[in-house]
Amino acid sequence: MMIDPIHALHAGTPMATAFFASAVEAVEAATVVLAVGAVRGWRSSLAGTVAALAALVVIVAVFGRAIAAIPIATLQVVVGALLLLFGIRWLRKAMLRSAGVIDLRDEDALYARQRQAMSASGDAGRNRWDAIAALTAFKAVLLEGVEVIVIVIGIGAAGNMLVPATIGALGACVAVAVAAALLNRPLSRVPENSLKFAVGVMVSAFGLFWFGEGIGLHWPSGDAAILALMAVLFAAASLGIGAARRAASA
Amino acid sequence: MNRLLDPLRAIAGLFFDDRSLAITVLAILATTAILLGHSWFDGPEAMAFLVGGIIAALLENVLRTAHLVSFETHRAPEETATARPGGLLKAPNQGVEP
Repeated sequence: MMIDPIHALHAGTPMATAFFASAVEAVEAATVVLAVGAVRGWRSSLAGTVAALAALVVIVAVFGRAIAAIPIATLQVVVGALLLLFGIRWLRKAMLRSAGVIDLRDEDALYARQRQAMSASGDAGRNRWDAIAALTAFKAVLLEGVEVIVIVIGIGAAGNMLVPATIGALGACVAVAVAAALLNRPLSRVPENSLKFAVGVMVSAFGLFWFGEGIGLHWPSGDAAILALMAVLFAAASLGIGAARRAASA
Repeated sequence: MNRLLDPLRAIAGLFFDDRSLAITVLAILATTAILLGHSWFDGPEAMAFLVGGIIAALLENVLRTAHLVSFETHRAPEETATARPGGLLKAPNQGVEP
């Protein structure tokens, strides 16, 4: 069976964007779940995680149906604006971290801090039901999961690419969950800031593209304009990091 | 009440981390849509305004933040101590943003 390169590019870009963005979110959620499980016991930590995943399935079911009823131009404008806000936020933070203006995220330090917080909030016994542990895991997985849903719906819904975006997101979540379970410690060697920078560029490019389409712009070369937007954003953000580094050290 | 508002704040925080940048981005989007809708812009002009405006807003925000951090870092410790509670930023290397 031959794979059409145009079709592969068309589906591959949202899949890769969803994969990398979801990997960042999954690593953040895994750090909290691991810390809670290690200190307060796995039963409550995993129960909170499963409950959050169930809540996320409900959110997807509700919003998935609602989104199908929205006219495509309105959907592109709303989703494009939200994706752009989301992506620019990540890009800004990644640029500031790369320039040394704010500290890099340290999964080991966050893991230690979460363990300390869990140890300080009393001991329910490692085999007993522990509401604090379950709620902490639930909240972390739910919030990071909502971010994954925003990314998948944002990237996939407006361009009829929900399937590749969902496959990318699920692949990332499964990969991170398996790695975290095997290693049983935070995934601190994942280059979180580089991923966040790349995802910020990708998501912002999708946001600009969809918003433009929604207000009636006809981008040159159609969907391929997303790659051009990524290149422009990448170049501008890279220059911005250098300028911010000089400004911070001046 | 706070328990109810916290999740909403967390979800809003997904999009509005830095308020001034978020407002600028929304203003650029609205301006592009209005100018294109009233045919004051043609396609290429609107694309240039949209992409250039967003990049300019991002770079301005990042550079302003870097300048602010540099300014706060170079202030006398007692000045910084009085300014920080109401200030915009913590000094660099003072903690990890989530």
